[in-house]
Amino acid sequence: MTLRQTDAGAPLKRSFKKHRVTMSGCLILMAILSFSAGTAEAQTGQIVGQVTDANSGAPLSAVQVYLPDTNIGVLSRGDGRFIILNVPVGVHEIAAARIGYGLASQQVTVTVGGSVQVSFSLSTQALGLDEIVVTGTAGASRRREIGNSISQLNPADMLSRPVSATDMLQSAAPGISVTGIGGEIGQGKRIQLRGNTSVSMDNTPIIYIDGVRIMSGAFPQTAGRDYRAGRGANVTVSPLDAINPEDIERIEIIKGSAATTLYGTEAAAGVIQVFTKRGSTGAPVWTVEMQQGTGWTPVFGNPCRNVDPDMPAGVACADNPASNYMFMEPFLRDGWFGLGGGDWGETQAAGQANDYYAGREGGAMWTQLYSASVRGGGEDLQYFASALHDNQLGTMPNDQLEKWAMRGNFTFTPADNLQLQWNTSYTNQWQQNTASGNNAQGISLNTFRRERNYFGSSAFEDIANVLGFDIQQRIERFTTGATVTYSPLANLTNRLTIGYDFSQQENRNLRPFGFRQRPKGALLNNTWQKRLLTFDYVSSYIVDVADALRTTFSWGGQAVGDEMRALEGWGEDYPGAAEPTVSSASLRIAEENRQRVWNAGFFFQNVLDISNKYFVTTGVRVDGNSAFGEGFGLQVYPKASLSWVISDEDFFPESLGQVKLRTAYGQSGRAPGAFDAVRTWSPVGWGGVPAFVPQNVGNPDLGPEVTREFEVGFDASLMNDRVNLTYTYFNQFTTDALMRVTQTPSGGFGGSQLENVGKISNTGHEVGLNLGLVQYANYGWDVGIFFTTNGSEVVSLGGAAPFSSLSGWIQEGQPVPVERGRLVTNPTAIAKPEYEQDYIFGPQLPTKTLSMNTSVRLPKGIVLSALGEYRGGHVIERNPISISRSVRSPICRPFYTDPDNTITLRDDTPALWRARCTPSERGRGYWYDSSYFKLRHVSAQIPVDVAFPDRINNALLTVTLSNSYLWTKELPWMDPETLGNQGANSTGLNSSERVVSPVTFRVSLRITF
Amino acid sequence: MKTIGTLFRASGAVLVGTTVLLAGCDVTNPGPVSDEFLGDKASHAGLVNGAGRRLAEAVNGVSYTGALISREIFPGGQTGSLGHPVLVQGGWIEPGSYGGHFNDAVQSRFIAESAIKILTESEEAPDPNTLAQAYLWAGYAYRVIAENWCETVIPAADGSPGSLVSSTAPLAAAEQHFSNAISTATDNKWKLAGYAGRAQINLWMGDWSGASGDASQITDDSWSFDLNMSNLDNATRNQLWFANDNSPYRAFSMIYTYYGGNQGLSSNPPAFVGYTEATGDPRTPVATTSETWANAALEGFGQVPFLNSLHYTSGDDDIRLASGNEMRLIEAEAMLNTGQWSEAMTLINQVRANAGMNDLFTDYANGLPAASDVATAMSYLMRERGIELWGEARRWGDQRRWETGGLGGDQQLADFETTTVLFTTTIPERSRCLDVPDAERESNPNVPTVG
Repeated sequence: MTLRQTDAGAPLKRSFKKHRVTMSGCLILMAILSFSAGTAEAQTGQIVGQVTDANSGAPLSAVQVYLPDTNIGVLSRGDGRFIILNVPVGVHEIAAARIGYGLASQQVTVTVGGSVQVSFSLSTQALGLDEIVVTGTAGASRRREIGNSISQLNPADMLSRPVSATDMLQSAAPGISVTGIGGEIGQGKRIQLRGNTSVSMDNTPIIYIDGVRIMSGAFPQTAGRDYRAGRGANVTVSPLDAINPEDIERIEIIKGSAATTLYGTEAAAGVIQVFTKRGSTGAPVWTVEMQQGTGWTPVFGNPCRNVDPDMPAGVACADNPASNYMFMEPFLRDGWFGLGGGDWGETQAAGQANDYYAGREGGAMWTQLYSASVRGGGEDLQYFASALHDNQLGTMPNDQLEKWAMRGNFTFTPADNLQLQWNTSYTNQWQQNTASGNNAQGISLNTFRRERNYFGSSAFEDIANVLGFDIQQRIERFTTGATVTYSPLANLTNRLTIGYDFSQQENRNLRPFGFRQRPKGALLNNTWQKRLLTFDYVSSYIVDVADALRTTFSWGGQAVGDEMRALEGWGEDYPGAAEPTVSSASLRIAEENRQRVWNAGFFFQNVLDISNKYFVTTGVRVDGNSAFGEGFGLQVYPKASLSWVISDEDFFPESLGQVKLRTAYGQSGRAPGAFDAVRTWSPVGWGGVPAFVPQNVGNPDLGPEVTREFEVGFDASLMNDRVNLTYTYFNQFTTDALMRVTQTPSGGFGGSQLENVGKISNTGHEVGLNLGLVQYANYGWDVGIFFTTNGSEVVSLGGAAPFSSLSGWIQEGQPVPVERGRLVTNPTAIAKPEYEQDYIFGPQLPTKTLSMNTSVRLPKGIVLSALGEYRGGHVIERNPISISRSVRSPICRPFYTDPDNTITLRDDTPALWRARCTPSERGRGYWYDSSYFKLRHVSAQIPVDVAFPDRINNALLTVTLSNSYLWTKELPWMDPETLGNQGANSTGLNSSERVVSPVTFRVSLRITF
Repeated sequence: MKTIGTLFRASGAVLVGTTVLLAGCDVTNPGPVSDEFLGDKASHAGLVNGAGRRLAEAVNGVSYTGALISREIFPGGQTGSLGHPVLVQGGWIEPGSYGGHFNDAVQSRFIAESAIKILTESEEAPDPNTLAQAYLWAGYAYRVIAENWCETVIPAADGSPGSLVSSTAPLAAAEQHFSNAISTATDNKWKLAGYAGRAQINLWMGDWSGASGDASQITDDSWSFDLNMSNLDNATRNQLWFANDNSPYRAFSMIYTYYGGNQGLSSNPPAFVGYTEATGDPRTPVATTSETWANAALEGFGQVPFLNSLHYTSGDDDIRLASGNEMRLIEAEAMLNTGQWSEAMTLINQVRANAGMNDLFTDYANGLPAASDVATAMSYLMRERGIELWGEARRWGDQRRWETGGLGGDQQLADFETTTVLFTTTIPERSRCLDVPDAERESNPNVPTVG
């Protein structure tokens, strides 16, 4: 039987090669646009100059230099220089602005044909105390007023070129945890803020874009009906990754209930708000970018390659070599110039099993990204528009991805006191993935298990059959939102935001007729949709009560409707090899699932401003949620905070810098699921007749779990802004925690019911330190360190017995969750393993995280940088394959008497390895101290303006190497960030049979004109 | 100030609107059915069918696990997914495990008894055959519980948690429900199912005349009362087929079983010819050729040939709850208990003839002596029930019943122990039944936590 890539998914597919041509056309168009810009010369002159940092004298790039009265402006180049052409003659004000720096302006007189020389020296804003932030506040607030910690990320400060919003969040601030999944293309990452505060509900933060709530979890993993948990690619795409990173102006992150109170019931896990770029007054400013990249799979799965602390001395690894890729070499694409260990291309070139290559791209892993954006506008209307095209070939043989994204943001100011902001984005992403993960019909599982796999063979030709499993998904995301801001009086502001976020995922998961493991074929077509509707109103009224005493009273309401719809068609047993649809199957079944939840609430807040240095904020939010039980009513969440800009006190030495002390207390919650409060029966049908079976016991008094958080800390900018230090201590306590209480099975309903019975605590310290060690005009060296601790504890289970959740155990007095299992008590003995049952190994989540970044600035504006992250103090279980099935494990090879022919262990195998490698011991003993360090990025930024004409005012070449180094304390053979089949939606740090994330190398050229 | 007042009023209106929205936040989601809906007469049939469906799921699971423990099938090494842990493959059920089987069985009882309550308390007279079906599902659910759990828990009449009870209690409850089904049904189909169920219960209770009397109501040997299975639904897909089929799992083989023999692969014990290999009995068909191995390996065996059972050939294959042939065997067993071995053998051979087989002692390759006493005839009856009821969640219970009665319940047990140390060194003992699950023990104050 010849398997080939069918055209069944034709509507979903695109040709990779074809789009290379298309993009070439785009680039040509961009070039034409760039050189057609601005030709007027009459009665004009020009302004030239340079922008530098006031502290170091170093040139500043990407500074917006503009003439407010003429709508003309440019961005400074990598060497800080700029040139503004075609400036009308006369006297003008010229200004220079960049986020993080104070605005500077001066007057110039332009003469006909003349050239005016101007220099700016911008001072940093230190703590940015007068910067406006809006996340977690009622309306907009100055940073000095806020008593809780808030992280603000500015893409312009990022030295590597981020490929996604998730990428921007990686190691970007204390308390943010971004965990990778595996090596599949399009795979999202798991995001958490300050660990777990819930054992039953989602610990993923909610996400807003420009005030509009969007879906926060990843798109679901979908698999064939014949094995829901895995018969697919097990790839979960993150909605954050659908955002064009070039669109992002800044990201604000608030991490706990002390800051998220005004978001109410769904915000206990934190809030991430993305702000996209707006138009600006002035001539159009274009930015185009081209990225090319490659990647390869790092070594994994070889217990002899790295040092396993449990590997006894004398085990002859050299005589018993294991694969560096768990035998995946024939299936992995390598990198450019043969980097990496994949030999997919070589295997193909050698003509092996050509049937399996039909229609597939060979060669190296290749990523291409092209984007263009333009911003500009007049007094009344400003615009920002962008487009992106992303095209990738992954390391896995079937993996490819193609994405288109576009955005239009418009700001309309019809009157001085009225502004309308309308932002809209659309993303269309198609991807094809290889069957992978814990999937009996996937490539990794069958390769890892050698001849004891589901083919009974380790031969390439047998395992390659799974490449006929055609898994495609198309994701569309549309977000639009309008914000009206009306300020009828100088001291009264109203803001109304209405937004709509739509996500659709179409999965087509086909095992064609003739597929060896399903000869008659099977097809899943699943359409999953999510809609979020946001109404958000806030009004603020400022009253100057007395000199140096001001109060800002705010009130507002918010309603978010969240609707999910899923419609699925499944067909199996096809009559032949014709192109299938679900309709053409012999057996067909459909499923529909709909779920809608509304959360609505109102709030009041007052900020008392005393002398512009003491700020007392009090507020309350009252929430209702359709998922609450009928007898529950409304939930009240209070908040209070203090902020003291102590450096504004007379006694504080001005030379020391700026310091703000802050403390905050607040509550927010998390709602139960849509059906959790209701006693329901499930209409399941039975053999063509209707049938009801018990579904949910129900609990009419069910309410949200409530997290109370107290935090205290300070922000400091010292030594002329050379030292920036932030510190926060947080203490979270969740009461009424939702626990799945086991129901007595003999009572009939069985299963479990959510009840508000638990208590959980979570505390930690967050330190951020940025040091400007060397600050000269041509040289600079900055170091940044973020250190976070996290300690959680299940304080009470409300009488419930310990239970498994979050891929670990929930047990009183232990972390959330804790790793519990059988400890091998005689690990080094040459004997049968002995165990201690229910041994507590330790917390599953890292208790210490240390992020380190450094950048070195060299002459010509060249900047070298590196970003790494250490996570430690935790334990995870990493058993990559099911030893109990007597598979031949690559991990156990050093202990096999004849590793290519038997699983019989050597007589001198210690008890720990007997536990790990003996089938009837069920693969015990795989708990490891999972402390590790990852070098996330190493990059170089090189200004290349000189290669372009003057009208190109900023050209930057960035080279980035990502994921290039991993150190592990004990886990010798697997990336500790590899997660299970649920991918980014994994509730805990479990794992499945995946290939690890690739090392990537990217070159980016970004031009502004 | 007028403007401010207007704005305050407008803002207040928005907040009031929000509050109204909160108060009226009654979102109804489609799909699940709320409790009160079940009181409608139009829902009665669906509720009763729900009991049948859950029973199908319970029998589906128990027939699979029970086939493994009672050695109707041989483990191919598959664990997790649709396989069983290694020690279960060896025959040992860890106390407190397999809560899913328990939940399905007791939930079937719960749904059926809820339906009986709703229907009998309904102001409008219920359809008698719908009510009879509810009694039937309740009766068969109790039968499955009694046959496969040594102990169970039955809640009090007011729904409060019950205590551990032996199999006698569910047998008594089943007998009562079957009697009610017989008296309620107007359609003979349901009456016969009631008689067949009560015959099975009477056999367990040692009421030989009652068993024989009820069994005799089913005169058609080809009659059967089946549980509907569907390949399109994971829960009601015939799992014994799914786990044994070539795709996706190949988790089991018939090698080393009584039916499959050892195919000359092992010298310890000496090669033996399987029953099916020798007789070609269509009731326990075994694949005659193996192209590959079972999907994984069982420790001590290495990979074993994939010689799968062909008894079920599709996930849609129904599982019998009772049959005419079984009624003949019940009659035969009742006769044996009153010393009528010759008459019993006639019935046993009648059942064999219905399958196209010769008398047992004339066609088995290794030769079996003709029965000449009760003991020999009883051994043939036990063997014949194993063949006739293969894969119907009955063999494990039969073994325990006979063992309890001092009749050597393991007489036809495939001898795995002499083939590999796995079955003798790493399991405490072969389990005789399922245990009340941990979830019951941890949540029910009347049930001790130690299994």
